[in-house]
Amino acid sequence: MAFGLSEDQELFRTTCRRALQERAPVERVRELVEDPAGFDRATWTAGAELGWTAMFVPEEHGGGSVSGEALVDAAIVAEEFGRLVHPGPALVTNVVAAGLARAASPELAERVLPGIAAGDVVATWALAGPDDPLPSGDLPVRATADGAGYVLDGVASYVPDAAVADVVLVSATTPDGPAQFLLPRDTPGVEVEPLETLDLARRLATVRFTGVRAGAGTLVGAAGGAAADIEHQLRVALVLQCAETTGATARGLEMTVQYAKDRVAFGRPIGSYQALKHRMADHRMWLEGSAAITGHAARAVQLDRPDAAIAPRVAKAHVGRRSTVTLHDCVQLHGGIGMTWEYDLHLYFRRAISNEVLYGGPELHQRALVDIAERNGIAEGTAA
Amino acid sequence: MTEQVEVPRQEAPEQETVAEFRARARAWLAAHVPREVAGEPFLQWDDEGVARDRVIQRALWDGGIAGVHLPREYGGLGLSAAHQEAFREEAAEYRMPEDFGNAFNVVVPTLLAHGSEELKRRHVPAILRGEHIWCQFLSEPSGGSDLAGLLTRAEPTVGGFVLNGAKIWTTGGNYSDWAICLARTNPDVPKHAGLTMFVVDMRSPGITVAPVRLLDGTADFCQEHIDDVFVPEGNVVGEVDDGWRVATTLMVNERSAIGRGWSLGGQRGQQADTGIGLDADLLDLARELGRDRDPGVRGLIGERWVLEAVMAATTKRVGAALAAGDLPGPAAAILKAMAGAVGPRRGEIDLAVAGARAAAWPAGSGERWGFHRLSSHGIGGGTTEMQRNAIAERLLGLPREPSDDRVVPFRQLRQNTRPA
Repeated sequence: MAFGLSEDQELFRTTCRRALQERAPVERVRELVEDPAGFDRATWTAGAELGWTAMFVPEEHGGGSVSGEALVDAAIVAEEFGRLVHPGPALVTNVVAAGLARAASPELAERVLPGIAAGDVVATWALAGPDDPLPSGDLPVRATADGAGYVLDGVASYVPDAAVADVVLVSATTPDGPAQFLLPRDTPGVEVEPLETLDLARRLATVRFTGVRAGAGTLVGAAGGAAADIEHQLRVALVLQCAETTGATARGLEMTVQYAKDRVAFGRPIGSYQALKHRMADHRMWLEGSAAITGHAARAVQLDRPDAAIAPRVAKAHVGRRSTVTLHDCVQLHGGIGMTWEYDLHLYFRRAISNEVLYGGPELHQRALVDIAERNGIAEGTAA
Repeated sequence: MTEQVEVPRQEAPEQETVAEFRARARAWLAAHVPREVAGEPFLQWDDEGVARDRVIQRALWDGGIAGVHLPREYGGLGLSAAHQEAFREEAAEYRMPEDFGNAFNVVVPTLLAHGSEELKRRHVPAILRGEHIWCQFLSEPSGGSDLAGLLTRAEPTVGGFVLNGAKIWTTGGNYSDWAICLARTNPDVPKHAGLTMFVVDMRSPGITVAPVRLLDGTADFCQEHIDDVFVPEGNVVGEVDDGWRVATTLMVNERSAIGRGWSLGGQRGQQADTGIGLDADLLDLARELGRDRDPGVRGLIGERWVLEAVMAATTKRVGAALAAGDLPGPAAAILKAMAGAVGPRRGEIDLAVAGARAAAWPAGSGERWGFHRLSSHGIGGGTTEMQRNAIAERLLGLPREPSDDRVVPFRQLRQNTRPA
């Protein structure tokens, strides 16, 4: 047991870290920067064998988690990914798996989930719009009833790894409320436009839906009744995003502390100057806060505790804001070397910035907390 | 000279399972100890608070549930950690005698580790029976961060020592019966090597205590003048000139108690698994002022909740990790440093939302919005700068600032001063 994790979970972390270090060190990540797919199929397959995409898939569909706490296990993987700015669609595939495990019909689940668990199916999620990283009202894709099925029109954006995804979970608006559809990416009318990305190890795309016919069998959950499913997927995505950012920040700070011990200027290691070491101490302090609140949020969502809506948003607001500040200062603390393309630090910095704003930035989530509090009547003076 | 001190015993069964103990503690607490009142201050250093805490501690003794895991030979129950945990759980909703916090969290572990048999037999049971409240004589007007550079002298005399100097920032000094006091016995060796730890009777002639009023108007801390105070040699804790080692034990216990949430019940300061709660007060104020629809104000209110939730989650995580050995002792500095960072930001937020209401408010409303800006979270109990040093040097392993103050004899050092 360490930090509330079981021995199995600790072992899972160790195995995950070792596999990533062997197969996907940062040099390998750099090689993939120019690659259109942006990730390495062999590592993906090996990761699937280690269970990186199986935790949300029920056992009857070939999945399972080491601990029975799917989200906590997935957060371990995400944190290790962050430590090596790992590319690829594992995190978003897990978000989709969590959504399908919760809401998909037995037929749909049986058709897709075994492939996700086995690493044969890459999944992504279309939620955001081009102007809205986290829609609060209408979703950017509209679904109109058409016989037994629906027709989808609209433009989703910031969709992770859309170009390599086999299936896309589309959150859409219907006149009766939100609905979700699971479509093969090569469905006619689905068009993927890759975007240029700040995070060199992450692929994002705009996905256009033009008269896309979605049969009744593609519907995930009840038409018009998907709000709670979307909310759950968002909570899972926020926790995984925070875990990944926390891993990236931890590694960036480790690099910086080591540099401050090794680099000598004015006759002594620069890390001995309080003007510098106090900044690193503050970053270490907030990093502990990131690990703490992310771990808390993972369990809150996993166990559907009363704060399951609040905790991931609190985590996102904290981790998003502090990690970017920390990694920016890590660059500053390095001095000249920190400015260079060859030094790995900017890869971590880019991931943190990207994660800060995707799925909504800290300000947005802070305001969302007030919305939730008002809905729950907390403003009457009763703490939830 | 060492008389055998008689140790009183609590009325408690010779052997007791955790379940039996829990049932007995539950019944006794319900019948004899007041429940926690929401919003009641953590510590109450006034006549009423001190008197009540003495009665509560005595009630725990009378019920045979005091000092659950402390050794029987010093008046405790000598029970297991599981018994202690059961007590914490049962006591969570009751008012625990927090004014004895120093005694239990800091003094008792230090005496058990370094004190003579006589000191342990004399003082531990007196604490358990609610007789002695303790304070710490560490910081001095000339310096708090550089503790080892302290100036209070202890000079040998017949049968003991004579102490002269001054102490400050003693929590509850004006209500304490005893103090654990660090003083300099040898100025001719480097500063850490010439210190000795004493226990000092606060009623000794020559000790004068005066509360220090803080910038927010409260006065929980005191300053003491120590003028020719005689301390018998039996009151030395550990060895003469080995006081830094004793002080280290003391500070480790203080830090880990803060990590546990300090409280004797062990629950407050920690976040139970019931999760994050959102305090409505600032949102209520924004409503009253007609600012609650302003997106900027809403963002600030949310940020305050984020700060408080992160502080609580970190307290819980670091506390558990310290107890389990997943983090080394100096990691407790994270919590203190974070409190020092959260406080000022919280003050900024309160000020931004409250506006002029932070400067003046309806008489008798008890509002304190401006006071969060006026706080001194980053100084008491060790400055934020010292916490940062602890994190940087002892957790991250960064080198110290070079200085010869650890090797030069104390007498030759430029000594701590404060501007007149």
